[in-house]
Amino acid sequence: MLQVFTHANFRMMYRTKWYFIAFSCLSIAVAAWAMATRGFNLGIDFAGGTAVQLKFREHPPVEELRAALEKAGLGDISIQAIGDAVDNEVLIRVEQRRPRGAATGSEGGEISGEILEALKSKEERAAAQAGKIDLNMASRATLQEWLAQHLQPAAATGEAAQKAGEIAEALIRYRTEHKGLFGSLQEVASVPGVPQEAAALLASQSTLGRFAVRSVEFVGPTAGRELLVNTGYLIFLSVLGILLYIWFRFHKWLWGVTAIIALLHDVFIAAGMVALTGKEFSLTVVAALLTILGYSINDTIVVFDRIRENLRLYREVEFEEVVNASVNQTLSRTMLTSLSLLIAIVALLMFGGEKLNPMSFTLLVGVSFGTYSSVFVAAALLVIAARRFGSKYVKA
Amino acid sequence: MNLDLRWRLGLTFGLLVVCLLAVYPPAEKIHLGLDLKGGIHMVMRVKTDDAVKAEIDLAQEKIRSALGEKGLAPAKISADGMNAILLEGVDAARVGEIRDLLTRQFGQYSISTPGAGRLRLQLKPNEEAAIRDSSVRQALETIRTRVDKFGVAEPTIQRQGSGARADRILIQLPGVEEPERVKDLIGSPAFLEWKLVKVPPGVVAEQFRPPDNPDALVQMFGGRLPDDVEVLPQDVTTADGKALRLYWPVTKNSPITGNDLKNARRDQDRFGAPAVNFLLSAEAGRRFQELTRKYQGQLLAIVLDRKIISAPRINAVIAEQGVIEGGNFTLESAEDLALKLRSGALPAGMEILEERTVGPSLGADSVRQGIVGSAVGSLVVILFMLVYYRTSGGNAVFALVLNILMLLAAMAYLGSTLTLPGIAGIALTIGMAVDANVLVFERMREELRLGRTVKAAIGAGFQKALATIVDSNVTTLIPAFLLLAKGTGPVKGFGLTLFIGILANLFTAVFVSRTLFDLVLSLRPRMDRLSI
Repeated sequence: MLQVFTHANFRMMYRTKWYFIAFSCLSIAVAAWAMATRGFNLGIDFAGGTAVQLKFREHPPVEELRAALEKAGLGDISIQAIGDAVDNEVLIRVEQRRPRGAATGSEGGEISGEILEALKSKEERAAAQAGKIDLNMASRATLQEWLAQHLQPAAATGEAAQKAGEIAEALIRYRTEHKGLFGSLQEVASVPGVPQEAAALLASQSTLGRFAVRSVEFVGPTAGRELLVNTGYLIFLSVLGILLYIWFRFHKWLWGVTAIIALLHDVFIAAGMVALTGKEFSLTVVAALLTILGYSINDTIVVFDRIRENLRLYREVEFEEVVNASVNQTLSRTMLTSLSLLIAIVALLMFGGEKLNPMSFTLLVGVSFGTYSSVFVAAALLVIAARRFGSKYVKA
Repeated sequence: MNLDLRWRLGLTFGLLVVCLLAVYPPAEKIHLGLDLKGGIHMVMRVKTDDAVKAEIDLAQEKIRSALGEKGLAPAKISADGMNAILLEGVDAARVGEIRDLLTRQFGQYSISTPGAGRLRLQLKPNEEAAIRDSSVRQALETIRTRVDKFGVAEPTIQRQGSGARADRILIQLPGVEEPERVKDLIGSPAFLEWKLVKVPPGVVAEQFRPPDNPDALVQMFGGRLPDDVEVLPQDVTTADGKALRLYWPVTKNSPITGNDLKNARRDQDRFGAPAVNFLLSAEAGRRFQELTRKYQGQLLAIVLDRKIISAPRINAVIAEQGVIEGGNFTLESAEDLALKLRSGALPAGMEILEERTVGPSLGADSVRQGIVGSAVGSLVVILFMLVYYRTSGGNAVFALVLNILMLLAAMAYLGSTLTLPGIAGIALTIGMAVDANVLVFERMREELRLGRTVKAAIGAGFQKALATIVDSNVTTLIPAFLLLAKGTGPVKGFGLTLFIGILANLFTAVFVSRTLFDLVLSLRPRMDRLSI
């Protein structure tokens, strides 16, 4: 039988507990410091503005891009490489600003178009002037229409249109499967389903832009504000819900208070680590923090339940000793349940991609501290409280 | 095997089959969100203020002509704030008569007398609300028509929000990847007008060159524009590629507008450049004919959304059929303009509140990464359970698999969308799914250590762990439920999978896992060792 902590009998609740309390205080101090001095790297959900994710054929010339955007007068810009270096991807963010009016007919959201326009190189502009089609930017519909026009200009109807549709489909499918980007024109010729004449036409009459757009996000000032209010409301409701549950679950108020302290400790430290590492603080990070709120309390409940059970069994034993025994008895299951969740989270962190990274990271920190705190913070505080206020407040 | 156990086994495997059927084939049954399959998600706001303003403008004209007919016209009629009209210099002797007439003909307004010789017509709040509401509904219809004609498969176009936020429209277009084009197509009002160009006094129409600043134009009129003339801009590109904005003097009223159109389609002008061909209604055709006959040789401006497309000279009499040309159209923009004109104008301007476009390649990457992340997590957890709890671990693995299947089947059955954070929710469910089993198994081990029989240990394990299992799941259900109910966008998807996952968890841990242990017990009643 494979087991951990079967007969665990660590003396955790005596003098050692002060080390844990000290460690927690230190962690909280670091978290507070990070939040106060570094602040959160607010994502577009909350800060508003425009974010455009581009994938380049070659290593993106970040400085040149920055210069081009600055010249276009787009205001505060940040350009940051994302993913692995070989991905050649950048995320461009432009701060919120007042809409300049109807470039696209509707207000708001026109900045993404301006960004793309500003980033076009001289060669790309020249190619566009010459009527060449950019295979990395063209959509399926545009490509189909262009092919129908150019393959058989005289009879751009019926059969020709259908054929153009098939070729366009084949090209777009290939592009989608290859991260949305053609690397070279030779690659285009080799796409299955593209007949010779079309390949020849594309070789002479098309161009490959140096980047493709992977995503565009715009959050206007109104939407950003509403999202912020909605999130605040969500946090408030969750905390209220958890507090109600704790109140219902622990009849002695001191137990409730220590559980809440442990809980806040976890969420606070997780948020602090997000600030410290400069990970993007987005809606999903908030979702992660709320999940920690729910998850971390349940280990505490398990430990506290066992303490209560043992208090009833061993009425004559010192409170400290009962707590220590209870913590040891539940140590194995506390560790194991957290371990299985941590496995899932680490897998997500390693393989889940860029988008889920801040969320997985927050969960990792929160769940780790949640496990730690249910034993070393919640239980330890209970022992300290018993010493300070006398056992009538804590004994069931 | 007793009857009760047979029922429970039947239910468990029946459920397994039902879930498999509900999920298979996953590509069809599980709806992916736009962040996974690619497409455009937009939240737009209808600027209902525009519609109210249009009503106030129209009412001013109506009041002027109604009172004018009776010789009661006041010295000045103007808008007062956004939703009221002020009449000044009203004939004091005939105020009563005027009031009666206005009350009769303009029932949507409440009339007050703010001072001598003045009348104020305030749009009644319920009328104003009705105007705003109908403008949103009309915008919704127009956008639907435009999207339909553009040809998007399975679009979502819905009114969103309530109360003060009832002016929101949610638009989701899966598989569409041209945000700039779509924004223009959906968001531009496409209000088309024809207006006569009023050249300054002493200038021949053909020789008039609009200046590039509005003050210069006013100067040409001797410092003051005539009452019926307004200035509208035209954006042009000079031969050397510089953008220039020209200002034209045109009549305030528009004899023909987009409302008079019967049809519009992409066409070519005489030189083969893209243009838009239009067909007017019979009645408007007659008006157009009259107009072009009367003003032959003059310039007629074609105005789209308060911007001049072109101002050609009227060379011949035009009836129903004509061409809009000279607007620097591309094939695409001519096609789109024709489409917008066919679908009708939006009753008010639109503002984009939120836009998220995900390219199909990014969506595909996200799906792959999400699946790999969850799969690796599952495998390691399964491996861990099998190594640590041996045969009993197999029980937990079965529960885990059923758990994920139930989660996916519920998603398919409810027709809910799976988002990227939703995949994270599934991964968390996997991590938590074995929690309950761990609680039960650890209890069983404790009982076995105390020397209980296998049967007693199993019974006690489940019984004693039950309260803890319920406890630990309920606390996570609270935030999951709130995210599901109150969260926005992708986060809602996370709440959804987490919520369903935890419920499935409770069921498999308490019911399915127990059933499997009972099955083993009934097959080997004298079992004295449990592989745990």
